[in-house]
Amino acid sequence: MRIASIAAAFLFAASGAAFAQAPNDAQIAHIVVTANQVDIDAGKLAEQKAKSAEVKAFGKQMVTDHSGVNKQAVALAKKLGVKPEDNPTSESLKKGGEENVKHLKTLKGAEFDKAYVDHEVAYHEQVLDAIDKVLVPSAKNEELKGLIVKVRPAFVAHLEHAKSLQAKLGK
Amino acid sequence: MTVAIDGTAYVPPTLTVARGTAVTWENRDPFPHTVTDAGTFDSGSIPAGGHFRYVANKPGTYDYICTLHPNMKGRLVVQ
Repeated sequence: MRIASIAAAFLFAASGAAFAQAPNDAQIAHIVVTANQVDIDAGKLAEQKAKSAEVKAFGKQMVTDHSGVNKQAVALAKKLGVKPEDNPTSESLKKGGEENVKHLKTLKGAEFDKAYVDHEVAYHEQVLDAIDKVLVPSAKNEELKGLIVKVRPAFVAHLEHAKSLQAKLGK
Repeated sequence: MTVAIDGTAYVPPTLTVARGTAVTWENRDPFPHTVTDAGTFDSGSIPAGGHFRYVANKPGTYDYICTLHPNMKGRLVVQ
């Protein structure tokens, strides 16, 4: 359900259902910042609640990495004079993130770890899909596009890391 | 000699230096990375904007990774 809502958020953007046309740079900036914030919020919770030390460390890294990206994204938007603009995709992302955190708060121990990591796998897959199909092709400003292209490999590393945790937890 | 850490990659990915050369890795990404070759050198977490310096005294080929983002791979060749 929660995973489906993230997918739906990006699919809307990809299919153009939520946008009469491709998102503009102000909307892309808002999507980038929101996508990072959603993962920061989940990571903070994992830092507090995860049972496994590895899951806790992963959560902490998500907070650090995504906070770093957001700091850069906000600074770039300011430099370019782009005011991040709320839009249906970022709204859906935010809602999906809030639902995920709400659900995770009801879980404990190994159950929490599994749910958090499963969501991280799905989340990073969806974000990468959105980067490739929507954000990079739509971004007009070269610096904004460059920032997204530059952070993409880190998201791939996060996905691989989350998948390796998922395989360990599944044992 | 400098290796940039940029876009979650080591640039250049392979660096060849003469023995005794000081190599500096500069982290230009907005989040931490490491330069780690298990057994030879380990920078620990290099913060955004930080750097790691290593004097390559022993000839050989060293394949290193970032332990935080293990898809990052680099090679240091010391002649």
